[in-house]
Amino acid sequence: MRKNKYQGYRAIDFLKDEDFLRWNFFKEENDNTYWKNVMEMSPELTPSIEKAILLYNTQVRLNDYSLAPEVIESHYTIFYQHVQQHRKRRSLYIWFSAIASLLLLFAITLIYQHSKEQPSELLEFVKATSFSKDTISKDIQLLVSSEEIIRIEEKEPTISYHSDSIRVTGKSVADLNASGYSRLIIPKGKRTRLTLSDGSTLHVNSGTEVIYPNRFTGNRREIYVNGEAFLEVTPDADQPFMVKTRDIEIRVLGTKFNVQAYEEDHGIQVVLVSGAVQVITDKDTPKTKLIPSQMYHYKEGQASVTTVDIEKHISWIHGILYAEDERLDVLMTKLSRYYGEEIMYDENVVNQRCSGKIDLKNDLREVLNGLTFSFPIETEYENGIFKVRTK
Amino acid sequence: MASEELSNTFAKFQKGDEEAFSFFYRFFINDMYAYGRSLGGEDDCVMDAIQDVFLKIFFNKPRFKSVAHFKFFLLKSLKNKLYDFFKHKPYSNTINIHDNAYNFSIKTTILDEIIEDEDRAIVQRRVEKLLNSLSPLQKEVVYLRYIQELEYAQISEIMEKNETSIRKLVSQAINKIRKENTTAPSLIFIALIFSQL
Repeated sequence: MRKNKYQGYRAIDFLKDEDFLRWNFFKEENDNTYWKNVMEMSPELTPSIEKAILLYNTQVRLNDYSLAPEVIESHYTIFYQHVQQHRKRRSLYIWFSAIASLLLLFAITLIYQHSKEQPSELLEFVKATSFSKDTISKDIQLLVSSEEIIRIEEKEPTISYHSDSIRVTGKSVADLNASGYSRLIIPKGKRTRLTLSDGSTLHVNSGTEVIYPNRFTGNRREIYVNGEAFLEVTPDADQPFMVKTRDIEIRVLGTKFNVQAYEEDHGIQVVLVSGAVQVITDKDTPKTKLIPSQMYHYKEGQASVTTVDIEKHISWIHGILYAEDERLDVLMTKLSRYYGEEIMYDENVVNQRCSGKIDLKNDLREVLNGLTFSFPIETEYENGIFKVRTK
Repeated sequence: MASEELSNTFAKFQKGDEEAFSFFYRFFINDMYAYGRSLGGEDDCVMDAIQDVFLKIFFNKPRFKSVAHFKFFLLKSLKNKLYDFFKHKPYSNTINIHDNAYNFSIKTTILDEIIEDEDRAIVQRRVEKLLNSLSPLQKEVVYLRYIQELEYAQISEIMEKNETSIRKLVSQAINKIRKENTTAPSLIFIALIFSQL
């Protein structure tokens, strides 16, 4: 008569037994039966076997390559930095690929103004795009897809996005393709009030381009602004609103603020009227939080925050332009943009500074004429161009 | 983590929640790292591959049926990524792995708590002896099935072989281990011994 092979086995002895190991590894049905049999036949072995199983499960590791928690954390941090880089690249790619064949009005200015700077990805894209002269249009252009361009002759239309259609000053002009992006180009001399699909409104100033999804999906609302706009954002804590400009990003919950980020002006201004916003530059600098009446100013990597008179920064939506110790040439640039007229001035204008209020409902000739009373300048209208000379 | 909590987090992840994403990043990284190393990848190369896999998921947002499906997808993507690396990148210290002749290994570790050193060495040798009788291909199949606990269909996709041959590989592996290591008699024989007691 054969003796039970396992007689007197301790847990560790089972752990050295190949049959036991194989059973624990594969949990095969016939091994299960075998070991059940062993335990039934020799109940006194059961505690040792159970302990051996526990030891196997807790102490035996196969290919136990595990990472230390701090290694995982630093790996994740690097991953997240990559995400941010990709995000920036991708968002630009998505926006700009939709309208790849068209030239933006400001693109010419952009290339001209920035040709000496380091090429940005945006610039490279613009350079790679074939130009069509048609885009230097006097009309407002609304690109609802790469094929469909809506031209608006009105000077100050309202554009609104409804659940199924896009309306211009009350009239339905296009069906809404919910998944696409729209691109709105406001030439000099025109302005618009734009209502997005979430009810947020933008007063879009002259010479500005805005890109936005036809309908906001996902966990954030993102738009791109090149130029100036006054925004009233519908609050939605679940879907934060983000305004992207060339250099900075403004994160919003529900608020009113003005953003001025013309490519050709180099500097960017964000003026908060109410609510709260965070301004994020693409560098590793911390976010800047603004409180109402504060202005964030960003220029060539330098950021500053000052308290300002809000009214002066948003009065343009009511047709009033405030100047506060502003260089006359800067004022000329603004007027040129607002009226859509070319203004030539000589270099001495740069030395003049002005403060005051200009009613933009008057025509440009009157406005310039008014300036001749306060400054040593004279103006002339010749061949469709306004000329300003110092006396 | 309770399974209910896990499936809640998974649901959030499916909706694009970034916190849930970062949870799963940490949840799966060790499994991925272990698989990558088992395939023969060097530490830095496996780490880079893991990052690439997660980046792709972060932006492409593929749909997963379950947490298990998610894990399968990660391991599969990691393997593909590593092959890309081996093909295109001169990771100098990495042994060159070709599609069919790579070196899948299973390393045994016996944790040094509870069990005494001498015993530990014996247990480790025994486990190694069991698994070393397998071919690299069998090792990988067995590893994916019994350590990573993937389904046969998933393994077949990762190994690019049909499910039948995967099942066959597993049963061959088990039989081989049984044959080469068994000192104990077969099941029927054992039953006889016990019945005589």
